[in-house]
Amino acid sequence: MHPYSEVSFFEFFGVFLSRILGLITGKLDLATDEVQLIALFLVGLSCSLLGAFLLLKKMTMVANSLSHTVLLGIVLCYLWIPAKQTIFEGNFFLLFVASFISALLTLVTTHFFTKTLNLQKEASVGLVFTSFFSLAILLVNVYTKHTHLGIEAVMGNIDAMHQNEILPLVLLTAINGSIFLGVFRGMKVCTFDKTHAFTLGFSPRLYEYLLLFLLSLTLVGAFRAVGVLLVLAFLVIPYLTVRIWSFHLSRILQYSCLLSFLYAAVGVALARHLLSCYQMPISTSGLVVVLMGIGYVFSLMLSKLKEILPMYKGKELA
Amino acid sequence: MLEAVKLLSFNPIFQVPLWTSILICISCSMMGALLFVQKKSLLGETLSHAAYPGIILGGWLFFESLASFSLLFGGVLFTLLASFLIEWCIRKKNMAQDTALSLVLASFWGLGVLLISRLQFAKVAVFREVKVFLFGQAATLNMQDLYLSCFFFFGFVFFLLLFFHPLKAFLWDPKFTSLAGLPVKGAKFLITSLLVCSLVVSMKCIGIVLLMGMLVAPPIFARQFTDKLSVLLVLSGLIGAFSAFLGNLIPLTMIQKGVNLPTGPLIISLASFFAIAAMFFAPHKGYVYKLVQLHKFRIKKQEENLVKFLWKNPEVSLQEIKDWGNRSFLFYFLYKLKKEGFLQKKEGKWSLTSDGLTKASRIIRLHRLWELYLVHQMNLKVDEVHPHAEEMEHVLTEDLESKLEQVLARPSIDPHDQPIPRQ
Repeated sequence: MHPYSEVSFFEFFGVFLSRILGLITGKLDLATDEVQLIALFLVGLSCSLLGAFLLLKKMTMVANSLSHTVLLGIVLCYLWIPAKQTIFEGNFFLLFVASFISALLTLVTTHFFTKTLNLQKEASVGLVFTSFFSLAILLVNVYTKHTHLGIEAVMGNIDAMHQNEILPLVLLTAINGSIFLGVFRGMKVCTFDKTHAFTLGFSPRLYEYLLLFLLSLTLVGAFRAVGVLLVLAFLVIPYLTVRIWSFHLSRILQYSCLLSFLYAAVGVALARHLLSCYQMPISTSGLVVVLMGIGYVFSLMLSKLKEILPMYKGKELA
Repeated sequence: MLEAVKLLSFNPIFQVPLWTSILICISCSMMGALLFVQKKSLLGETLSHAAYPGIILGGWLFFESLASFSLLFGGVLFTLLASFLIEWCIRKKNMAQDTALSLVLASFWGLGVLLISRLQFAKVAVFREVKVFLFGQAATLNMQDLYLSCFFFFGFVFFLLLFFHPLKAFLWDPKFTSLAGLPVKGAKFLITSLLVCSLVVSMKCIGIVLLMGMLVAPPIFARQFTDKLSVLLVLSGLIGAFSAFLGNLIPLTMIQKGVNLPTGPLIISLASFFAIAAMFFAPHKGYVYKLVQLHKFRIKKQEENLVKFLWKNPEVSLQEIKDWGNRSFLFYFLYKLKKEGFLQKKEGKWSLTSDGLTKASRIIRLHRLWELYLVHQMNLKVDEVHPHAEEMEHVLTEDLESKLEQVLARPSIDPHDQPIPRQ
């Protein structure tokens, strides 16, 4: 019997809290809703950390391109070890390495097109990711029977996620979090003022590579949960929402992490509510992104309040 | 292969998808060229994805009354909405273009994913129709799509022919265009709506996810061969049509071997392949051509430096040439210059022939002329002009030489008080 069947929106949190002790001690297995909640939260956490820096560097469309080409790595990896039933039951480490290499290849190719072949940046980003992605789709169609992989790639398939897939996500978030805590100051300086960073002894290029490394790790992790396109929402929207209210980078990061937890919890609970009260099965990741969008619009509309609220008095928030 | 060509060209079942996809790809590639020259190629990525929730909603609400037009109608509406939102974010909210594009892309796609997961169970018939739009399949194209793409293609070409000059002005210099009294806002709206229509019309064939490729690859291909907008448009249209043709042909040959290839990704792969190949191998602009030119120049430079060395040191032994430096491929250069009659070897000593002397004095002459020019006309100091001249002596043409002569009034002494050799 599924613990969350016929549970409404508010009851969801009650059931979750009552089960939390059992989950931590390992007495209970994770139910699908909890898997979704944790996965979405972890993806949201990693993405909000990364997204802030990507947005400041104006590199979000590059992130979009990288997230597309991750598929090529996954497909090539699958062709190499064809014995597994589904791609995601395979060796996660190998999957990460393959996707990381394909992400790296994307960056190198884009750079080569822009710098050596003198192609404009927009066009080279577009050319590289569409060609890699179409190649990946062709390979999927020719060599595997998983023709749905293409659809899964663009949609995400969080509803089919399994308990075992949480662990890599946890590891990934831990890596992301600890590296960001460790290099936060350097990353901040390098993002805002490269020349200044260089005089202080930081290497801006090294930090850019680090950022891209973490990005490709995160994209592989997010691939299964939210797909190549929705991950963009997790990168961009929480930052933009919080940015309206604050301009301290560290505070923005804290609040956007908090927001991503909130969105994940509300999204999963709402999806469950719709299922149990109205018999409407819907995609949880899609719902979370729509909630994010609504939150952003809401926050935009409320931004007029900044003129009234006492704590914003005398502060200019562009 | 030949069988497949016959099948494709004579069997009426394949005619409709073939012609529809060719027309679609031509208009898409030409539209892409317009975006390409504005450096806005990534706009296509966002707009094509933004159509998805529109297609779903259109199908959901109006499929009974409007059939497949409802999908296109919804798509056009949402894509237009997205383009206005992007503009609004950039204008009013001071967002970077990159940020605005990804924000709109992500939120519209999220809505699409949410809606499709509901549609899947609510209306199965519509869901099947919509599913095709994701990756595209030419086999699903029907007579109605052919008429539509035909209508759009001719409309687009008519628009281009009619407004070519104002369009050109607008693409390169919107401020000038508005000063000239032309309606810039109207032009912008017109181009956006044409883009939106071409995207939505193409989706059933190429698919939303990869549509971007059709906008980007053909113009990149065409750009390697031309600098003119008109040629760029025609050439990208042609390569788009060719990829569409091959994209319809290859699945036909492969299906006999039991491999089922999707048309959309195949067309994009082919177009990207052509574009990348052109970037390497195109004459004059290709990477390989440039490398060859560079190499040729390096050889010429080495050769001329050797001749210059022998002019300064007549009668040197091989060992002395080796000691001078520039040892890479030395034997090759010596052999080549000797064969061409510039060098001779007498009793183990190398020296210049009379032809060689003429060649050497020309190089020296160019070197000294350039030094003089830099000092007289560019006001550089005497002691800093030598390195510049070292490079320029290999570059100057006869044309430039006579112009330098004219400017400097046929000089005979260079800034270092050395004589400038006469021709």
